[in-house]
Amino acid sequence: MHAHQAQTDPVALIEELTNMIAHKLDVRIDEADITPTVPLLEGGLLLDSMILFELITLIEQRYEVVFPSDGLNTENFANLTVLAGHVNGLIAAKAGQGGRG
Amino acid sequence: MLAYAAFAQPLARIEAALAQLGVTDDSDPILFECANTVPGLLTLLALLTLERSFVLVPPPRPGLDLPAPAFCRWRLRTNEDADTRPDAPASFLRAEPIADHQPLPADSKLRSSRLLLRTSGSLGSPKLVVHTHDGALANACNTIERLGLRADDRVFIPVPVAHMFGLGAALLPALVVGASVEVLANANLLRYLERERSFAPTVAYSTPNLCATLVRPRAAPAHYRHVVVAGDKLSPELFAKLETIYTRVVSLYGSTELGVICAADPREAEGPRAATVGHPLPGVELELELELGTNPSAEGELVCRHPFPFESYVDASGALIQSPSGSSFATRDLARIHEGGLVELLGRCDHAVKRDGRLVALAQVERALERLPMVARAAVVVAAEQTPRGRAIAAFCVAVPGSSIDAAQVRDACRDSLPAYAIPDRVVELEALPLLASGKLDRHTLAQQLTPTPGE
Repeated sequence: MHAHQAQTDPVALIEELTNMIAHKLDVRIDEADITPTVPLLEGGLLLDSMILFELITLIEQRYEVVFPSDGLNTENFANLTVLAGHVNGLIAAKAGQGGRG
Repeated sequence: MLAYAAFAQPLARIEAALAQLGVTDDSDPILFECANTVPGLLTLLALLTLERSFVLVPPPRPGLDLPAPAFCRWRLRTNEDADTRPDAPASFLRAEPIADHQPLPADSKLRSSRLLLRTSGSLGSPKLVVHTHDGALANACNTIERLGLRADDRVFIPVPVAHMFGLGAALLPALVVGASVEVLANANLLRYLERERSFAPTVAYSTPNLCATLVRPRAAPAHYRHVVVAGDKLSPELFAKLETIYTRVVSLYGSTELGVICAADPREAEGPRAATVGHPLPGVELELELELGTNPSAEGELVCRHPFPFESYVDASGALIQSPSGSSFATRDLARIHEGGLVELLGRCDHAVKRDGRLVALAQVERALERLPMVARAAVVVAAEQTPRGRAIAAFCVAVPGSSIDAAQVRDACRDSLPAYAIPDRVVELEALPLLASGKLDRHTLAQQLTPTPGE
C-alpha cells in the first residue's frame, strides 16, 4: 500500500470506486451500469448488507482512512459522486492531521 | 411513534380496509408479505387480533419470489411510499387474489387462527410450519423472563419479523411486556447506525452476519444492556468485540418449528457464554440422540420436547403432513450438554459423513483438532475420493504462532480424542482459513483446494 496525496482527483476517485465495485466485490454488476449518480442501494445497484460492508472495508484499506461512525449514513453512500466527496474529505483530513500523507 | 393505548383504532381501521378490499372473514389463509415497517407491524397485529389464518413471509426479494401456496386466496402486502400514512390503511394495504387458488375443505384446521411460517430452506426446499395463534403467543411469552425484557426497554428489531426469530423472540415478547419497539427493514451497517443513533436501544436483536458488520472500531454506545443473537455460533473474537459494544451478548437457539428453545441469561456474567446457548427455556426438555461419532457420553443430535411446539407441517395442497404433538422433535442439530445443563451447538447433522458405518460430525473433528497444542484453527471438509472407511475427510489447519503443522504428527495426536474412523485422511496447513465476507468459513473454496492426490 503506497502513500496517497492529500486530495485525489474526484473523477479519478469515482473511476477507482467504480472499478472496485465492478471487479473487487462479489457482485454481478455491469461496469457500464455504475454511473457516478446511480444510487448504490435502493433504486439502483441494490448492494446488499454484506457487499456494502465489503465496500466500506475496501475503501478504508485502499485509502488508509476510517469512516467515523456518524459518517456511516445512507446520505454519504447515496451514489459514487457523494461517496467520493466524502472519501476525499477523509483523505484530506488524514493528510492535515500530520505525517507526510 | 404509536402509543399502545392508540393501537385499537388503527387495528379497527385495518379490519375495515380488509373488508373493503374483499378480504373477507370467511376465507382461506392469507399470504401476508410482512415488511419491518409500522404499516407491516400494524397489519400483522390486526391479523392476529382478528384471529385470521395467514402465511407470514417477508416481502419477496428481487429474483427470489417463492410461489404462493395454492390454498391461499389473497396476497396481502403493505405499500411503502411517500403517501403512506400509518393511520390510513387504504394508503398502504394492497391485496390481490391468488390466481390458481385451490380452496381448502371447509373443515380444514388451516381456516381457523393458524400462523404459518416458512422454514429457512437451508435444507432444501422450504417447508410450511403451522402454529396456532395461541401456541405462537405462548411460545413468545416463554422467552420474556429469560431475555430479561422490561416495559422500559427500547427494543430494536432489524431482523425480519416474518421469521420466527424476529416474531417469536423479539416482536411478540417486546409487545407483551409493553416495551418501545423499533423495526428496521433491509438492515445494513448504514441504516443500523442511523437508527441506533435516533432510537438509542437498550436491547437489540441480530444475526452473526449483521453482527460481523457492526463491530467496527467505534465508541460503545452507553444505552445497550444486551444484544440477542441467533444463528450460527459466534467466533470467540466476534463475541468479545460484541460485548464491548452491547455490554452482554445473549446467544439464542431456536427453530421455525419450536420457536425459542434455549437462550443465555443476560444477567449471568460467568460461564462459557461465548460457546453455549444457555439453558433450555422453562418447560423445554432436551435429550441427545447418541449414535454419533466421538465421546458418546456427551455429544449427539439434539432432540427436543417443547411445551409450545408447532402443530404440523403442511403440503402444497394444505394437507397436514406430520403431527408432532406430544412427541419429541429431532432438531438435526448436533449438540453437547455441559455439566449444569448449558447447551453447546456443534453444527448441523448434515455436516457429517458416514465412515465405517458410523456418523462423523465434521464439527466434532474440528473441535478435536483445535484442542491440539499446535493447531489454532481447523476446518474439515469431505473430499471427493473414497477410502476403505468411506469418503475421505480432509483437515485444513492454521498453526499457532511459532508452531507448524506436521500432517503425520497431527493425525497421530488426534488418536487421543477421536476414534480411528474420524481421523482426517489428509491434513493441510494453511496460513489462514478462507472466509466469506460474512466472516463465515468458506467451505466451498476449501473443497476446491482438494485435488485428489495419487497414492493416498
